Amino acid sequence: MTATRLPSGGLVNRGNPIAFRFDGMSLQGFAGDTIASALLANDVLLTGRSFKLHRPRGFFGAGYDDGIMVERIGPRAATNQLATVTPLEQSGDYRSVSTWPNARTDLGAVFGVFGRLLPAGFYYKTFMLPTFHLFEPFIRRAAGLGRVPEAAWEPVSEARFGDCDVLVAGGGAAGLAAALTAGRSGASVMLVDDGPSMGGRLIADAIADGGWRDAVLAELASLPNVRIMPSSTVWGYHEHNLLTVIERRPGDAPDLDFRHWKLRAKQVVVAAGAFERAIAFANNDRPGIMLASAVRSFINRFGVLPGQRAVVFSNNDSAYGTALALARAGARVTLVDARVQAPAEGEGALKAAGVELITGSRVTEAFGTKRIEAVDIVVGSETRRLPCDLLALSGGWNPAFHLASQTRQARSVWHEELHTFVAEHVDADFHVAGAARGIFAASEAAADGMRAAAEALLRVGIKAHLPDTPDLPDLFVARKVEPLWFVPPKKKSAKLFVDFSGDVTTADLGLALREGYDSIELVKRYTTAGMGVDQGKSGNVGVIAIVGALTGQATSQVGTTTFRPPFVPVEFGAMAGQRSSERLYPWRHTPLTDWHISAGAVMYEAGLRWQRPGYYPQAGEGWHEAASREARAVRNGVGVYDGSPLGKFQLRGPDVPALLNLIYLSDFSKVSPGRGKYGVMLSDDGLIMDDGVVFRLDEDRWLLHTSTGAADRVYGHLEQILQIHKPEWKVSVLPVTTQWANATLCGPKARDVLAALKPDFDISGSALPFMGLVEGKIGDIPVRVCRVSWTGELSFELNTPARHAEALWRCVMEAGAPFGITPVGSEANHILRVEAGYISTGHEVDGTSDAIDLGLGSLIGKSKPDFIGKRSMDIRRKYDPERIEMVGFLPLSPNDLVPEGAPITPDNDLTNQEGFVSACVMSVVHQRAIALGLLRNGKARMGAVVHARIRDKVIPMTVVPPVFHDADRARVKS
Amino acid sequence: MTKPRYAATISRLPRLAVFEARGATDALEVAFRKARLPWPTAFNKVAGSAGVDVARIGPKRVLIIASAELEDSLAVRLEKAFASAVAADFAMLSDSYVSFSIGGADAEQILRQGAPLDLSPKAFPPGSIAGTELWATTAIIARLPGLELTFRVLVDASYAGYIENWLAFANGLPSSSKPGTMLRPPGSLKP
Repeated sequence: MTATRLPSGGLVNRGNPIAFRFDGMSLQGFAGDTIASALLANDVLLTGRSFKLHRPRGFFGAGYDDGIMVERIGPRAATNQLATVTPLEQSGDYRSVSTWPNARTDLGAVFGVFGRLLPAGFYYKTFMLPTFHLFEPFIRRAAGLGRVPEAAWEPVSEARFGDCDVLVAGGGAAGLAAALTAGRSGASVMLVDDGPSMGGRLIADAIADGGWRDAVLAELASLPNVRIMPSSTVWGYHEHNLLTVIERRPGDAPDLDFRHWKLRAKQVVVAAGAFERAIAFANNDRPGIMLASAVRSFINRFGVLPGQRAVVFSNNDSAYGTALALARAGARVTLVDARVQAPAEGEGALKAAGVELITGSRVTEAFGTKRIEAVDIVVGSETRRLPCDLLALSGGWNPAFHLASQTRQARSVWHEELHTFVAEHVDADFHVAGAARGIFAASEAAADGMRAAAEALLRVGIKAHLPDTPDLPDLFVARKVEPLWFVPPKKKSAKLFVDFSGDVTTADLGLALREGYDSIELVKRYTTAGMGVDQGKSGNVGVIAIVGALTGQATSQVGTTTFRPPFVPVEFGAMAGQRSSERLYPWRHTPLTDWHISAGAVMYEAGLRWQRPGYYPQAGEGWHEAASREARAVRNGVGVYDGSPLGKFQLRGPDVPALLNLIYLSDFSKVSPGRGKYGVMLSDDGLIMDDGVVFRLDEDRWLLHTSTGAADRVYGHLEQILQIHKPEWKVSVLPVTTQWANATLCGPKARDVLAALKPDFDISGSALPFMGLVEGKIGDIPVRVCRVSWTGELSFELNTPARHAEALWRCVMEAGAPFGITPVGSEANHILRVEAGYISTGHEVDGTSDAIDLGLGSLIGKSKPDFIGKRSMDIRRKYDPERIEMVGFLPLSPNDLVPEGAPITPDNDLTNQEGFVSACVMSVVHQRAIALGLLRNGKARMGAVVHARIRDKVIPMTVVPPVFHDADRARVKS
Repeated sequence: MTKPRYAATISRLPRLAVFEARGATDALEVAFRKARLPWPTAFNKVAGSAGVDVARIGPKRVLIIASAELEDSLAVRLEKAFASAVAADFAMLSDSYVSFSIGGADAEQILRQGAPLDLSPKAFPPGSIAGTELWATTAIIARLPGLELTFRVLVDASYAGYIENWLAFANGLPSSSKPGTMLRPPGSLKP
């Protein structure tokens, strides 16, 4: 045994043991463990295989700077769980990812033998014959991450919005001090930290804070204006201080796995700390080699000693704390300091603790395969081999300015003492504090947090109440780093890893440079350095520095790559929240939906999210039989359909006629009260936007109808005209679509049914003619009846306030029963309108046709000087006179139904399209297939045979006029 | 889940009398005076009088909300008041809106799952009203005067089932609404 659980210490609950399995081994941890700490406590160092070469890997970091993931087989099967941050679960069954059969004896390790064939970017230049796609599945499977379980866990997630005055990202000394300052001052504060307990390095480094952390947290918890969010991460910065935050297992909602926030913060204080970085040397990826900060974290947070015989290798003071922590925990420790001169206080402390100190020395190579067994160090010209089971590394620190980088405002500036990048010139409403800007000592970081909070409060006009700066003894922190990025190997073939997640070595960087990828952004993409699971948190600066060394540039001159969200892996399910099934789309329903469903209607969308009956199948009927039966009922008797979703707008004002004349082709000047007119509306480019009927209700008020799907678009069009182009016009527009429900009677017996309803108004053809409107009552139900038709039959639209919709509908069904009234869905409506040759938005109105193309040129008001789209339409017709025009088609074989959208190609030509079929139905009038479509020069080609091309088939069709029923509209106007 | 996640009570209210007026500000102000209705001094603030709440929720948009019993009398008053208005109009929209009441200490937590608007008492004190987004639809949300912990939400009637479903789920409960089937036509439906 080397790694082991210490008899005491850490924040785990030793009274709550947890049994779990990993790669088939039965193990035990404690509540409060992560999967990583529990594995280490059981001396499981080899926990995964590397991404590309399948080299043995163990934990390198103790948080989001690590890349070891596991698959959770159960409970709640899930894959790619980051072991260093995922809490251990009772009876958890885990396995290593991308290994077979397990991490210890992985057959994929054979890739290591062929490592020379798999350099950076190998997939760009190898496996190309006969085609890369032949090999791609195998390469992906070998390199991939975890398997997606068959029955994947569906987390319970809540997505929500939030607002606050000050968001503090990071709950270490700087973050706690910032939150306390802002909270005491009365600002609304959200304090976010990814650890289960606030404190950051105060906990991980066991800093003797004299109870300061507990006191601050207690005060913050008592402030109603402060929200404390442990186990949460600010993972993205978006425009104007919009931040995305993932909260895991929120304490106030135990049933939730995640709560995902879209948070608007007036001020942001980033106190996210810093990531320790490594030093590259031969075989620096062996299990048992980890960051010095990770070692401290495992000891102090989890009470786990990662090794008994430890070597600590450092180029700065911060690792001295690690050496002392290891020694205190009972390990035998040697500290190898790359610097010639060790800090005096460090030297004394190490001596007192019995730690061997070797200065001016470097680790050159690690030995061991499945776990580290020894390292070679050079001291002067002498090489010494030190047996060890743990190597703790510290190559300096990279401040976590990822969020600052995501603002695209901040600039990364080289820090000459710390040899790293820090953020400067950040936005005025964005503040960086503590280790995130290179201030590592806890007391100084706390003071810096207060400064940042005070600046933030000033920006929102709140007077800051600064707390006293705490005394937090923190002796060994990096104030000056001696740059050491890699140790040249003895053997040329040695592997020095600079990015563990992507298996990127110093040799890969050299290869990228030799092949001409000389920009750091290109090096990143070619080698994938910084693009793995850890997103380069500990490796990025090292990559930049080594590229600088290889190209002879100062590190500060190489430049930086761009940090993008997400800062940590975030589950898609967390972002989506509960947006699934019936909550995915905002479906709309008419007041008659319940009736339709009870009548057996098949419902689906019919434009602008409206759910409407498609058809009402009876026993033994499919959609086709049902739709045909409904259409026949309308042609021969009477039907009724729910027309409620049609867009409706109430217009009023002296300039309404001028507005209507501007937007429609037709002239509305002479429409009298109680009458309506059909209009076609063009967009600025002269193409059809929508059509509909406008009724004049009285001298002042008008009722404008739109098609269902175009209601919002037309409303926006009207408002744009009235607000921007014609603000002087006196017109008010009120959307009244859902105020009114509609039952449309249609068919030759429609008037009989209406008469049976005993309306209190005259419904004769002379009193209520086609395009007429009357208001009155049917029984106690107020109705507004419009004579409009979209079926090619006599029709009465019975409109009533929605509260009366169901009562009216039931009256209609009862009165219509003796006439065989039939409810009609969208499919039958489609058959009827195709037979009648009426255009439909989305079919013939496809965004390329103008009114004349669709045979509606006669609508253009002869006396009108202008209307929207006129000029564009005229110009287009002038320069492209051979138009694609609306025609009818009769397939030569009467049973050939042509799919909508099928291209029409001349003489079976494969590519040269001359039109398309916009709609094709089985006519109930003609008992054969009929179609509408757009055809080049169509009106001049009546009687010609054209060809619709569908998959594996060509359907010949005769060109005919586009009206198949009631060509003179006698039935409609009866 | 059968236990609510939050301390909030959600209820669908009986139909309210809702009218909407639109037009030029001066014309609207004159009409409201004629109708003896209060004219809100500020946008997004409710002015109440004799059981009628009035709110300006846009530059040219005013809502009038009252209990259903006042619908007929309000309609008459408004018709008279707007009879001579040239650049303004009103419409009864009682059927267009469905109202919900969300009350309790956590009412805000429910609504913030769908609304990007800051609904904290500081930013949205009692008496506030605003049109905003709610679960990808538009809605009008008000914090009632004198009732700090209660919100009233008006949504387009066609979305009522969808919003009711969301409100229940946002509180960790299954929905009692029956928003209808969500079927799309089968692939073989079209020829």
